[in-house]
Amino acid sequence: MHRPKPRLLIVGFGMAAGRLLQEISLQAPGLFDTSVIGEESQSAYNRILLSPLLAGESDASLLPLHSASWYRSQDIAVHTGDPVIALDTDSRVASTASGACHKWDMLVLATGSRAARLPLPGVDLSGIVSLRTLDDAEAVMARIGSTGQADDDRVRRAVVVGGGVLGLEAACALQNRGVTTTVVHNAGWPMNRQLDSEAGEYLAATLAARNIRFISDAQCKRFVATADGQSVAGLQLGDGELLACELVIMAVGIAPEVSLARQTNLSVARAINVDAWLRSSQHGVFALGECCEIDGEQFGLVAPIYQQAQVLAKVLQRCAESGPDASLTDVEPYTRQSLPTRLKVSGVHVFSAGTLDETGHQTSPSQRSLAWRDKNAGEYRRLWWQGDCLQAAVMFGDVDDSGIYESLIENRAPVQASPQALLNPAGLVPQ
Amino acid sequence: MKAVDTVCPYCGVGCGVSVTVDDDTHEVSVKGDYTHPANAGRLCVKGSALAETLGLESRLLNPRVDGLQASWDHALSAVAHRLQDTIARYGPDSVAFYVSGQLLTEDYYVANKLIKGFIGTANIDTNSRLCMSTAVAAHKRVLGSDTVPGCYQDVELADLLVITGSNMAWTHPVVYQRIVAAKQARPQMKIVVIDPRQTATSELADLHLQIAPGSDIWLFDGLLAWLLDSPALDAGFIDNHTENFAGLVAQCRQRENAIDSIADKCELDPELLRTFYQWFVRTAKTVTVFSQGINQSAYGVDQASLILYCHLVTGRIGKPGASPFSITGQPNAMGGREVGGLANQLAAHMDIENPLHHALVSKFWQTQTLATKPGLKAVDMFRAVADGNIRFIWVMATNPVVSMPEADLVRAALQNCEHVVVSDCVADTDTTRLAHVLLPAAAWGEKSGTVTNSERCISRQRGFLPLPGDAQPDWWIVSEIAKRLGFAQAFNYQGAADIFREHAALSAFGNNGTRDFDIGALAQLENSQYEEMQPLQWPLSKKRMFADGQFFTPSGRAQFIAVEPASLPQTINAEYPLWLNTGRIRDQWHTMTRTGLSSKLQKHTIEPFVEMHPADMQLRGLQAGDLTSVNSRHGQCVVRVHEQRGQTPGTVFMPIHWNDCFASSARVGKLVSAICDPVSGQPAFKQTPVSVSRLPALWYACLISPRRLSLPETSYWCTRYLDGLYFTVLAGDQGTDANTLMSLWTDSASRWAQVEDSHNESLRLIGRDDNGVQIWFAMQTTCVPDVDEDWLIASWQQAEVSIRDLMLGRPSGSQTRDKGKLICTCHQVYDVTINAAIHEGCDNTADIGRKTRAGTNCGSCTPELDKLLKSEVPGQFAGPDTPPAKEESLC
Repeated sequence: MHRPKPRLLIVGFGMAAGRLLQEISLQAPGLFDTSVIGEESQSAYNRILLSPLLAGESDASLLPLHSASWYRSQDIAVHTGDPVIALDTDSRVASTASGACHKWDMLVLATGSRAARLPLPGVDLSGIVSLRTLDDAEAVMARIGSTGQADDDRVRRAVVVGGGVLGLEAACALQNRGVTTTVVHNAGWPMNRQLDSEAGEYLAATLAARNIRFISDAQCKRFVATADGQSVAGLQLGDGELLACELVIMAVGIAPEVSLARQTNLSVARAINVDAWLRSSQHGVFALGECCEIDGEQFGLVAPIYQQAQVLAKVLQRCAESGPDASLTDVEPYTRQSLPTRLKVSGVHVFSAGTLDETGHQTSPSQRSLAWRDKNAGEYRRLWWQGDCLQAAVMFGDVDDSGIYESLIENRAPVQASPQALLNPAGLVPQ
Repeated sequence: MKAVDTVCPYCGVGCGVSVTVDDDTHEVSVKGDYTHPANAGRLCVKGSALAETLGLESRLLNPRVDGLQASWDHALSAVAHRLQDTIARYGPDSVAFYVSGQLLTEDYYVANKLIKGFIGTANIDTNSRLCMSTAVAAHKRVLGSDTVPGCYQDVELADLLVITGSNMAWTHPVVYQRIVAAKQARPQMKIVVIDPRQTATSELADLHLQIAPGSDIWLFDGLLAWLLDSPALDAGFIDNHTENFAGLVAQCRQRENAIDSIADKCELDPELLRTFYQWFVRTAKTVTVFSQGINQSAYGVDQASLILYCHLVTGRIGKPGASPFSITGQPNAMGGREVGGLANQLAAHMDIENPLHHALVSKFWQTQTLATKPGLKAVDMFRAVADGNIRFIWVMATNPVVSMPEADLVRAALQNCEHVVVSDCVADTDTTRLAHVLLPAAAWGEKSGTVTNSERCISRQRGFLPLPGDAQPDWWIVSEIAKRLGFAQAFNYQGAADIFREHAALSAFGNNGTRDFDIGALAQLENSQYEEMQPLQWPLSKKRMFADGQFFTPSGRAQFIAVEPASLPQTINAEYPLWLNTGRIRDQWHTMTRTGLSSKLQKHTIEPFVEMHPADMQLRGLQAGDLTSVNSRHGQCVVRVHEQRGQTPGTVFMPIHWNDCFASSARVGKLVSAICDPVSGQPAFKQTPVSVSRLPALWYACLISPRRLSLPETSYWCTRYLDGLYFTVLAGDQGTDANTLMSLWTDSASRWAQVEDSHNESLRLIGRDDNGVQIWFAMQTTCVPDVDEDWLIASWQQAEVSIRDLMLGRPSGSQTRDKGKLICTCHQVYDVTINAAIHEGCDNTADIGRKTRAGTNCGSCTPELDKLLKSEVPGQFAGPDTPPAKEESLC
């Protein structure tokens, strides 16, 4: 008797979903009757390239993860521009905004996250945007325009709220496009979650050299509207300074998109709780990516999500073959990994890896750090040790050795705190 | 291409050197002179590196008076005026010259003539007082004249060669090489080394007598007693050519000199001692080479006399392969003795207190003011400076603040002296720092004259470079002063040849065979003949002296003056429980003013040190390389401790070379007591009670810079100059930080890069200015940071080397420098390479040379190669085909 293929429904069509489909095509080809439903009008694309796109250093055609013909060849039913608005986990049906219903045997939630917005007066004015989606990016590009555009419509001044990775990438992209950009940040130095204060100083100096004003320890008070009360005209800070602008980009972090999950009886903390095999609290329902959390760990970078996609593809294969209670003991679970950060701004090389103290990377008494600073060359790096293990590394300027530090941190290989490790780690690796 | 034959300016071997100067590049190259009798083409490592020491960076090029540059006229007038003024107020004995075995004979002659003949005081002494005056005194007392009886050939002809108080493998390497070659040709030749330490020289010995410090006198007294009852006694020679043999015997018999008793005093195995005595008895062709271990002693003249006695009672003197042989430390110590450079001599081997000699010299010099009594010897001279009895001192070509015993007192004396004049070729020495007037002297390569080596061979030193700046030969400087003092008639020399002719004429004046030194035949040389003069041994008629039994005593007989072996004048105690011995290392000369300029030579032993037996180190909790404080009752030195199994427990060794220009506190002279032999006045440098203890430091650092920099507060530093960079090692017990250092060096660099350590266990800095890297500094709390010097020198201003790699101080990808220890300085071969060659099958030094080039130039490192061969391939020398030389000596 021919058993029908189990129906696999993926809700959300961002990078996590795109990667999962790819893993399934490799690990479990032809096992499922697969559908994917996305809110955006595009199929999965590489969100990381949005800043280079904005900066004019990338092209929209380079963004999609897979072509339409690839989805066809994999027999994947693709539904875009039609968000799922309700899930019925009892009858295993998802309903979309357009009224379509999709049944599933196995459900994967890959709803990702939303850009966070500060709840300030005037936050809903036109011209205050995030840079989360391709639509966002295209809207901003339209506002920036090209030199031929009429002056009245052109954005000439922008404020980026948030001096993290995304905010700085956006600011550099805007400045690159001829927009006078100011970054306001609520901490003492840019990328304070990834960098120690000194690397932050080097980065701030680089921003200044690019004529990007960086305001640290800033408190945002309210947005000021244009005379017609429609559009943003500026941002007022806690100290009273008014930053006049035609565009504000909010880059103050992300919030997991869990509204669908909350409608059901899935266990949700800040994000959907899943185990190391990406299983939610309910049989046959899985989640991965920015919408999930594992042991309290949340996700915002691609590397762990790619790992999750690999694990989940295997898990799904097992469930397809042996049912939802299949033993997963021989399936390699997701493991926490160190997450290096690199800033994607051309000409600015920043690297950060390992576990840093969130209070500003003050070295604790049990930790030892070595730093190399060469102000003239704009080079800085600092390494942190716990005993004989490299714990964290921050680099600015020359990041050629970042791969070595990344693997030393990840492998927890013993390496002595020494000038050699700091200045020429290649010499530590046996020839 | 200009080619010039000249003589090496270092040790007393006096090797001929052939120099070529390229016409276009002016590049100087140096090799051994194949025609010179002393070396026949060989050169040691120091001589081979002479071309590296000719730069002008460290030279004194202009006269300076009271800190200001001056013209010659002004400087000479100032010196003459101060000299006249001092004499007028305090008399001629209030002035003194302290001169040097580095001076040429002609320079020496005019200095001696001026002060003894015309100023009228014999207050001229020389640094030869510190090395040869004991041999001089013993020769004169026993033989009647300061005559070295033998020649170098004797060490090759001997069947038994006794080397006592000399590490000649390092101090006289070319004579040592001749011995090595002779021993290879005649393996049956026996070599006995008497030395409290195992040295490079004792490696060659069939028998090494590792005696207790200062016990040589008992060993030779015992030998003399042994010989008196032996068939070796030459009764005919004793009867016909010596005096007071009966007295000698009588006194010798009174002493307890049974072999066990002597062995006990020398702390030797009696069997080893008996072997030596037996060999001495049965070997007619015996040569005893002695040097500083004998000379630098509180009873040096007595022990040197005993050596002479042992040869006299056996008639083994001045015969081929049979003679006592004093070997000289300095290039022209012998020339200085010939012209009377010592305070108790006159000139041409004549004596001040001999009225006949006094009259002869007065007449020859046409002077009424010739000094009538001996002057002050070196130690007493500086004491007189300290006491204010000498108010004017002129130091020529030497560095007494480093080389004298109780050197801090010498420094204090010069600091307080009214007039200090220093003529030197080097601008900055511990002594020039104290001068009121500095006079720039010509250096080797520029000056012209003669020197006499250890075997009485007079050789021409010839200039091949122009005089730089205002530099002038020493004879010119002295003569110009003499003219300004009103003695123009007696000092109107046109060149060195004029002086040499006068010196030769004086040696023959009224001589008629009564004095050993007579080179009157050379008094008529034309200038061109002087220029072309080939090496000549005096007396011009023969190579050896005294085989005929004719001595220069009044009776014509050698004198046996009874000698009473004495105990050491100091004892070790709880406070100072170790005996300090001092000496040279292989690659440095004297106070390093010249050898310190050679990068090659600076690599062999990089910092001042004290060598100690591991048991003594353990007792004090010392690890090899630890910084230690070495203290005597006179002062303190700070040096690294080296583990040395060849050191007898209870004794330590320190080199003499380091000084305040190269290290913070390593002038060994500070530690040594100024206890002198009562006859010769030579200080006892070999036995000083000291203590050694670990000197803890908070940090250790290495500083590299093209210019010398001010140093932070340190407890230790040592600087070397390598290929245009100063390498300074530092240690401190006061904390310091990057900001302090950057502000200290703010004049040298404006742009900084640094390594910072949260635990302050390390700190590194690179300082740059518009001309590139000016400062490289690395500090850590554990030990001196390891750097690859050769790589750093090569990479210093290379754009392709990143600043981070430069800061690391090692080539990219290398974890640690592992070339090991530099063995062959000439070809820069390290022990790692040599050991590899041994593992690949090289089982002798010649093979190693073919494979690695080590030891193929000067051969100074062959003892070290031998050592590596022995340690790397155990059993290699115990094979049945190898002569069991060591074993036999133990039977």
